[in-house]
Amino acid sequence: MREIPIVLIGHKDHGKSTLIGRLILDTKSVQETRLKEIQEVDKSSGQKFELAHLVDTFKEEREREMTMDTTRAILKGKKRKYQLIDVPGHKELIASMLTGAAGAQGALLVVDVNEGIKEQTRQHLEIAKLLGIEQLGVAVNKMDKVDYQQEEFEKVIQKLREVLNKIGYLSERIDFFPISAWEGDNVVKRSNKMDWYKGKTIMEFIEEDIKEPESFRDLPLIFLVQDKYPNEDKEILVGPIESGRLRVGQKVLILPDKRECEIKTIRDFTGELLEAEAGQNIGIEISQEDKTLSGVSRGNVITSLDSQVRTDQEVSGEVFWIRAPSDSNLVLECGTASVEGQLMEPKMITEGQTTSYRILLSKKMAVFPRSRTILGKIVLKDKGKIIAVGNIQ
Amino acid sequence: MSIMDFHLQQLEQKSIYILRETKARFKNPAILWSMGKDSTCMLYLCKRAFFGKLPFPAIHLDSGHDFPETYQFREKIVKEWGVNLIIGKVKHETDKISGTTEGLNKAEALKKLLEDYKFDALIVSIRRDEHGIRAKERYFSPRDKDFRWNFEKQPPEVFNYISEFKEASHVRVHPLLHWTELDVWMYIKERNIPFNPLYLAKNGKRYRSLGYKEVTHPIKSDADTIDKIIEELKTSQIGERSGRELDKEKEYVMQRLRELGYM
Repeated sequence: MREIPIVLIGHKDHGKSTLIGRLILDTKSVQETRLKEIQEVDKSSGQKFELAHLVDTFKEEREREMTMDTTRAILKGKKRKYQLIDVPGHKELIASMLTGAAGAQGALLVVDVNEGIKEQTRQHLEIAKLLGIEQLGVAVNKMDKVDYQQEEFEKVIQKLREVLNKIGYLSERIDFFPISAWEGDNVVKRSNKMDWYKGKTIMEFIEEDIKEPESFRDLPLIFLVQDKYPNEDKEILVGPIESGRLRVGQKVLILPDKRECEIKTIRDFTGELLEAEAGQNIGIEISQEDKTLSGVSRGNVITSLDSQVRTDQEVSGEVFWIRAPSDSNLVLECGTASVEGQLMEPKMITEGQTTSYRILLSKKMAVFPRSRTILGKIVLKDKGKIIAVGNIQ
Repeated sequence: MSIMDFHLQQLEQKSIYILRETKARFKNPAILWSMGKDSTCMLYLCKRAFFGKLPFPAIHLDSGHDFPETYQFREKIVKEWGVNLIIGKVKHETDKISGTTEGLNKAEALKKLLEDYKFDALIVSIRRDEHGIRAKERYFSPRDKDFRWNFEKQPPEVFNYISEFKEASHVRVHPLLHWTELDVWMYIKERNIPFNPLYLAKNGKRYRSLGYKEVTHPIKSDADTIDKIIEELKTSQIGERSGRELDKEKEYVMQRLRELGYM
C-alpha cells in the first residue's frame, strides 16, 4: 500500500526535523547502518549527533542547524506506512515549504511550548488550509524545558485555538499533544512524566486518526489532455483521468469549447480497454462530427455531459504569494491548461501573504471550483516562474 | 485495471505521467541507462507510457569497467526492446579508480555528451530512499550552465505544476523519485522485467547496487530468486548502497558530486 504523506509544519527551531528523527528512530524505520553512518560523520566533523540529522543531510544544514530544503522519510507503522515530509521553517525558504506541503494528506503542526505562536506558525497553517489539508494535529514540543507542566501546555493551546479558528480549522476537533521530541515523551512511547495527559501519543494519532486519501473515482469525469501521439494513421489523445470514469461509447464534452463527441477507443500499453477510471494514464480516440482532432490539444479537458466542471474566463479564489508579480500580466495554470490573463485583484501584494485574487483570462478555461481535483487548484506564473499557489472558489 | 497491487499501480501511473510530461515539455530528452534494476525499470516504464515505443535514446556512460554480465545484459535488452543506445566514453587513469573518481569521471563524460547531442532533459532513475541527499531532489530539477545543482534555489513543485527552466542548461527528470528499492523489485516481479543476473546470490553473495567492478562489493545473501530478494529487503537493516565505495567514503561526497552534476 502507498505511504500516506504527512507534512510537519511550524516555525523554525520549534522541532520539526527532531520530531521526524524521533518518530523514525523509535519505530525502527531507519536502517541501523544509516544511523551509524550519520553518527560517524557527526563525530568526524566534530558535531554532536542530532536527531534532525536523519533528515537534514546537507552539510550546510547541519552546520547551520536548520532545514534548508524539503525532504521525506518513511515511517513504518504497525498497520500502514507513512511519508513524513520535512519542510524549512524559515520565511526565506517558503517555496521549498510549499513543495513539501502540497499533496500531503495530513499535517502535524509543531509549536515550541516556550515560544508559542510565531510568524511561520500562522503562515504555515494558512498555507496548509489553502492547500486543502484538512487533517491536522498539533504537537506542543519541548515540554521537558518547562518541567512537563500542564499549565504551560494549556496556556499555549488556548492561544492556538484562537489562531486555528481564525484560519478556518475547527479547534474543538483538533488534538493537541504535549511532547518532547528530543526526550521521546508522547511521540512513540507514552511519557511517564505527564500523568495529567490522558490523550494519544503522536504515533497513535498518526495510526488511528489520519484517514486514507479518498478516491476520486466517484467524482465527475475529468480527463486532462496532456499530449497527442500519432498512432498508425490516426492520432490519440493521452493523459490522466483525474477523476470519475470513462467507457467506450460514452458521450462526452471537450472543454473549453464544449464540443460533444464520443469515446471510440480507450487504450494503454496492453491494448484496448472497455473502461478506465481515476488514477489511470491512458490514450483515447474520439469521434466527432468533423472527424479530426484539430483544435483538441494539451490543456483541454474531457468531461461528462452532466458534469459540474465548467468553463470560465474570469477566475477567482485564494492564493499564497511566494513573491509579488513584476506586472499584472500573468499566466494561470489549471490542470494541463496554461492561459494568459490580467490580474484584477488584489492591487497591492506583499510576498508571504495569502489573499483573494481575481484574474481576467484571454480565453475560457475549464475549472471545477471548490473541488479537491486539480481543476480546483492553480498556480500563477510570472515570466515562466511560479509566484503564487492557490485555489479556485 | 489488472490485479496488480494498488500501491504498485499508483507508483507506475505517477511515473508514466511524469514521462509523458517530459515528452510534452522538452524537445530532446534522453534516458540515462546503467543497465541496473532501476534504469532498466525506467526503460520498461517508457514502453508503457508510449505504447510500446521508446521515443528517447538511452545513454550508457561506459568506462569499460562494468561487469561482463552487465555488457551481456545491455546487448540483450538493446536487441529485444529496440533501444537507441548512445555510448558515452568515460576516460580513466586505470590506477586511480575509486568511488569518487567513478562519480566525477562519469559526470565529466555526461557533460560532453549533453553538449554534443544538445539534450535538454535527462531522465535519471534515482529514488529518495537511496540516499539522504537524493531525498532532497525534485521530479524536475534544473542544472545551470556549469551543470551545477543549486539546492538552495530549487524552484517550487506544487501539485503537478512546475516552473519553466529558461536559464537551465538541462533539466534532470526523476520519474522514480517516489519508489523504494523494495517497490522496484516487486514491480520487476509483477511485470516480469528482465534484470542483470548479478543481483541474484551466488555462493552466498549478491550485488545490491551495481557500479564499477573495482569499487562495487557484493553483500552476504542467499537470495538466489527474485522472491527471496523481496523477502530479504523486507527485513534488511543494511543500506542499499552499502556495497558502493562512492557513497561510503564520507557522507558529504554524495552532496558534492551531485552539485557537480553527478547522477
